[in-house]
Amino acid sequence: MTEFPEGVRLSIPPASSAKGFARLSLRIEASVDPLSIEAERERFGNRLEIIEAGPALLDEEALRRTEGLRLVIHVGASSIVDALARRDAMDGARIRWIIHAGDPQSMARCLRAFARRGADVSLGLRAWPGLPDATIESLLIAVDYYLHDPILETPIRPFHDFLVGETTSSRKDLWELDDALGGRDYFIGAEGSVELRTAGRSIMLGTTDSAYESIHAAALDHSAKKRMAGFISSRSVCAFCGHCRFCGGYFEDGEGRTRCEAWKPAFAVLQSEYARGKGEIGMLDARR
Amino acid sequence: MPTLACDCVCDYCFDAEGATSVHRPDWSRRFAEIRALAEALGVAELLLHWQGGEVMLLGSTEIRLGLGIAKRVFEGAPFRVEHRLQTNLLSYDREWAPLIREHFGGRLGSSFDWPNRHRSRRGGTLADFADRWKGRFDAARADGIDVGVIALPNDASIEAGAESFYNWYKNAGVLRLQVNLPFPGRGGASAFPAKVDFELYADFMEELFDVWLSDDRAMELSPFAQILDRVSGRPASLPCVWSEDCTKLLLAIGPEGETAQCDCWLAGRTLPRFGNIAELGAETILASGSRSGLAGRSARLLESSRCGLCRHWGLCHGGCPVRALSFEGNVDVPDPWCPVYLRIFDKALACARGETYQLLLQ
Repeated sequence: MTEFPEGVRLSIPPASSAKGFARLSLRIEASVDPLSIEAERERFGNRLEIIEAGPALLDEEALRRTEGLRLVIHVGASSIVDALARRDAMDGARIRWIIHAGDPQSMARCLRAFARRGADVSLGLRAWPGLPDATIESLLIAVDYYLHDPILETPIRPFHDFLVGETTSSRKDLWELDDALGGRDYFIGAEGSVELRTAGRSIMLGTTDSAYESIHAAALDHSAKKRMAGFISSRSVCAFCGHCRFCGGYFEDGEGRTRCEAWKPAFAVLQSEYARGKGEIGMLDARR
Repeated sequence: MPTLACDCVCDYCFDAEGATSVHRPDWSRRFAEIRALAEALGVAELLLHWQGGEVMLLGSTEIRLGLGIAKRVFEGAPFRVEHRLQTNLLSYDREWAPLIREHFGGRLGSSFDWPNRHRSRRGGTLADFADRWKGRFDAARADGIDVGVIALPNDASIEAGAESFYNWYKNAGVLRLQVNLPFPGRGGASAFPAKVDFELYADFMEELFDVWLSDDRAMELSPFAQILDRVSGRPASLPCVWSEDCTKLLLAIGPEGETAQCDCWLAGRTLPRFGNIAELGAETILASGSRSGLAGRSARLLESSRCGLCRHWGLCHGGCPVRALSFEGNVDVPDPWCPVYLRIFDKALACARGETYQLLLQ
């Protein structure tokens, strides 16, 4: 494996360029040392596009050293004051906020703090060290906020993606959304091998000499074609779940175990509200 | 604020001492300092609100001189400059009209609370004030000046009822009315009983909203018009009391260069200020601890007060810090007028939903 500082991992987001491995994403799970960012930027040059890290990225020095990069910042309620205090320093920065909140009050405060006009906000699909995991209660608050807040200023993902998928032809499941959010766990080995590692599984996809598109297509191909077949043949709970069309079995670990308990009620509310909204619009159309 | 001197005594005024001496400001210096502040902030537009005290006590000749100096100082500035005038109107006469048309866009702001129970000229009566104000208001309008009026409802307004309140202003010819909610100024004044009944004020404001809607929104009534626009998705500038960070919008500079967040903070002599810009310079003023403390207020309220859980956070942001400080002695608490704000916001949302439904049916 290519050696990185502990807690630092390289991944590959969807290519914004058509030319192979043009762009990389650096995920830093340990507390961020601004000097390490400098070293990684030097190592990868302009191939480094995204820095994904926790609230430590809100440090003034870290923000300065990541200028020009896209940032994916994982935050919780304890980050509110720091994040809002740094807002001026972040003007012009491209930031995706990933919210992690384990209780309804923290979720409510985080949404009000980060879901501002024009902001890019997602709820944390994957756990982040040091930040709480989502709970049923916190996600129900989040979906209620998304659906009913009087002044909703920005879409909350993945809920908004669900509605976009239902109302347009561009439906994406959580695998594809996660890919777009900040990159999968493509591990790059010292000899240039590229593996997809997620939820305990490891799939060889090619080498760093391969074009990105073929790596990505192989990963998606493997996921899309094999996943549902695997669910059905193994009689996994996902095969029989009403949310699988959107979830895509994202929370299944490859051995039939799922970790979607916190999300299912929120998905159910979304589906129910969508169906109700469709019905109301139908009635309005009939009255016109 | 070219002067803090005033010819009136108002029970609820935040200027407890009530300065009377009018000194000619050092226009060049003050405007140079304002330009430095504006450039340090990188603003695209500078609105200079001329208010006091009572600005007209300086006389139209002095104000015209000041405006001329302002034009010279701001020449070539990387921002647009606009002037606004706020006055008690008692000194208005026809001589002011050309100046107001030329430099203030033909409009000015004034204030009158109906019924008048708390405002009088020095040595005068409540009735004298009311009569003189109305006479000056009519004169300004006859001269083609557009007069916007701020009103602070008092206990007598509540008792008379929202419809009477509204109709008085409408019959007086007021086309632009802004209803503000008062806060303790001098302390112990008759304007504020021991405890303000916020629910009574909430009832009053909700009723006023209804009266205005029933009148087909015949006058421009703030804050209702702006809130309705905002919740309906139309562009709107809400009053500064609901801004997320008023330090990004406002700064007051007094006749001697003293600075504070706004006129309320500056004229309220016991309230925290940012320092004297003549001594400290723009960068130091903007970095002052008092100012950054105010700037962080909304984040602190979000993190740890009931505001962070409120469905109307996106409209209110915890309300006005000077109101929180004046009532509760602490800026890091929600604005005590919260019960009133909630009613107004809910009313506006219900109205906007109704309008949207009607549009969908068309």
